[in-house]
Amino acid sequence: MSYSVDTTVVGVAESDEIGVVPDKSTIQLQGEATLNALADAGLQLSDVDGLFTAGFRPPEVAEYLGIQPHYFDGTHVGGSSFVVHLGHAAAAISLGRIDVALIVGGESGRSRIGQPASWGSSAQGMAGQFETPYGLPDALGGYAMACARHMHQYGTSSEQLAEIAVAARKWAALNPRAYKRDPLTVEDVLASPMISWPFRRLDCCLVTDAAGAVVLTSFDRARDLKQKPVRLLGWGEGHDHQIISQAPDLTSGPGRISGPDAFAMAGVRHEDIDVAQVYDSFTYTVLTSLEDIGFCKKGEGGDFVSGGRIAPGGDFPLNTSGGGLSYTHPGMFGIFPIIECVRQLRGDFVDQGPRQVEGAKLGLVHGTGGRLSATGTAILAVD
Amino acid sequence: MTDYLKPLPKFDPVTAPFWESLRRGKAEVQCCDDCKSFVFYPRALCPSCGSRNLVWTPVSGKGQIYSLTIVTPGRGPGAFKSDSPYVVALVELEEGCRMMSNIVDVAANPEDVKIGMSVEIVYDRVTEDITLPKFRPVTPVKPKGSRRGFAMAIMALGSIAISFAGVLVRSIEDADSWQINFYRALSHITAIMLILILQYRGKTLSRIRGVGRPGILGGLMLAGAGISYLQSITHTTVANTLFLLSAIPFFTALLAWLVVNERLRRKTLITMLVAAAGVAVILADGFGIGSAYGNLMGLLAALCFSGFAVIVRKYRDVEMMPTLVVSSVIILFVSLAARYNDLVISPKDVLLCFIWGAILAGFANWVFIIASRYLIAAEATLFMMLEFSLGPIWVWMFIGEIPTEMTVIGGIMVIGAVAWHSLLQLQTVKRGTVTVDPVPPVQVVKANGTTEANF
Repeated sequence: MSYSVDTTVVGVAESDEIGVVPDKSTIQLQGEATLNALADAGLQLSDVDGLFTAGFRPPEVAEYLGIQPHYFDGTHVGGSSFVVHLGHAAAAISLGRIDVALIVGGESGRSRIGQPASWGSSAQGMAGQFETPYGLPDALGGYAMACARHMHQYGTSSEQLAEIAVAARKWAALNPRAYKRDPLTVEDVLASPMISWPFRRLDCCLVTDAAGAVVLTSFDRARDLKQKPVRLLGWGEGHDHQIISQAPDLTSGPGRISGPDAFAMAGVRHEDIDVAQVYDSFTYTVLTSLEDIGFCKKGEGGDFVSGGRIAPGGDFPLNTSGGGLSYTHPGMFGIFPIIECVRQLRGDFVDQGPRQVEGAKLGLVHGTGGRLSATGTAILAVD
Repeated sequence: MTDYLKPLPKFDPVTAPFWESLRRGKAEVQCCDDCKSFVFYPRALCPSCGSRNLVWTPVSGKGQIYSLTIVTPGRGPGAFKSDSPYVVALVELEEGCRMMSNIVDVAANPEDVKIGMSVEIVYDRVTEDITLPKFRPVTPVKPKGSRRGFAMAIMALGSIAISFAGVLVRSIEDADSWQINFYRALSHITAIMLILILQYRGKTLSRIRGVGRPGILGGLMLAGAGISYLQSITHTTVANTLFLLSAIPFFTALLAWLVVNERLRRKTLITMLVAAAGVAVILADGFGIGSAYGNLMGLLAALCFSGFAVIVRKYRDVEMMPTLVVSSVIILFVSLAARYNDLVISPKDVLLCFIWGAILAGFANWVFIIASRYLIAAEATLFMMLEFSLGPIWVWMFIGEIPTEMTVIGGIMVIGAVAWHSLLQLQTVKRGTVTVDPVPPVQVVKANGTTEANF
């Protein structure tokens, strides 16, 4: 991976409202996010010539937006899709095939209005034949099984997982757009009902209505735009399995592929990262991802996240919006970690005290899709 | 066999031999003729080396639990809810490949079923065509027999205790139903609060505030049930009231079908018709002899209670104890509104109301909640029938209250139908697959609608 990339993120935004939005459909939320992100960049719908989306097929989104992109990418690897799209968009921009890439995603996950056609399994699919008949509660059960194995193998504890939920809530308390902002303690998490052992309710993400969009262009073009450009220094993507019963090793995921690839391409080291946004569909998702990416050794994630280290004021600011656990999580969360990372690097929150990670220059975004199946890692920077 | 409501696998040409081997009761898995690795799920190529030479090979059916999750009561997709708690596991076969399955014949509890445990295949013939591979511990795990036995014992004690409520009402001298309601609710609140404070200490009030809309709705339903129950029992025989209440499981099934679109099974429908006929006999008899009001109130009590059970199903984690507090507070205020200027009753009546509200109902509710964690729904229903059968016997023995012949016939029809249905259910539930709630931090009513009815 030696080619130079000059791609930058120039606009990011959520839909007008996020949380419980019972009067808006999925595509409408995506439309709002698109317009808001373009406005953030100082661009128009007509400037978009590359479309990257997952959930709906690209032509569905293009039709709704009224654009005629000449580059599509509908790569759908679950919640990590949008992080993966970052790299794909950068490749298309670097090749000179497009000028302005739009990545858009999100859904009416809670109100379930106008959801994309189901991409779930059929009775004859591999999940339908070899998992569904046993009553595994969907993503929840798959991640719970992975977590149980991690606990068995490395002694990871419920208290350590709870630290992740508590830190997310502390960040959310600083974010007016976060869905859950009331104080939370480790004891509260441990007292929440067990739903699929070893997961308790507060180990699980929210289910909300929300969409987000990210606009990219070349560094040259970005110089004339409104926002401080955020460079995409490196990216990686990785796959491991699709259904959880096929996971070669339940205690690790494809972050062990995408993480190192992203770091190698960016030419930076783990200790250089100022702020990290790591997909948190479940508390455990964060813990195993941090190990896979290489912030700590396999099995040491529990210690890594403990002692308030990832909370506001800690030395490893993580999921500074409140994440999927406390800020928002419509179903596929991956667009939102990108948005938050870009805002932190631009210094959008400088007048909001601890909400802004002081002097953040280098950020990491990591998305996890499916059942720890496919990941995307990206490293972003401001000069 | 059409009663199997859970998702079934649909074979394809490559996977069919696997499913057929299970149907024969001798599991086969593909083995790669080139790299000798076992391949699961079945494929057209070996994912380890790319070879097409995969040979169907018998496997021992023995292996170890690689990982697992335990789906807690009231959860799980669709029809699996009624099995919860249950274990979903990844089993690593001796031959080296892994498959998802359920672990059966063991309590669904993280203390009893563990990663690394040796398991062996059991063939679960769920339909004519499909046999699912399930696994059980090679060395039987001694089920929490003592706990189950203990649960059964306290459940029986609780049922017997609360079955004396009828005798108690008949022993009250002058107090009218609103005055009884007032003192009974007051003592019930006291008892439940005491238990809650012991359990939650400083967090008691926030627990009660935390019941939310489902708790308020549930509390309203329970209050309605409690008030109409007393109206019923003071206007007709104890037998009439209790026999009508016995139909609760069927009202619940019916309401769940109407309100939350739960499927009605054919077996349930048939026994339900018998029970309905029993209810009709009691009601018709009541109209004939002028105790229609008492009977209708009994019916209303049963409906309200079923409404509560459906709310529990819809919202899943309704916390029972705080909801009982809500309902008793409602009863307290309603009876206060009815008799605010006339609350003086004889000390003996006050004492009886306190025995009922605090000791009988308080104790019964508490043990039922504890026991429901270890017993399955059908068993709990059977204990409920014990209460409804014993009640009329006690008033006959101690008070000399004799129900009409038709009431007894109707009662036998209802209780018989419920008991028969529960026994059938017990037969179909595999032993040991449904017992213990894994580390329940919060008491949750079994979300299958057979929550105990006791007032």
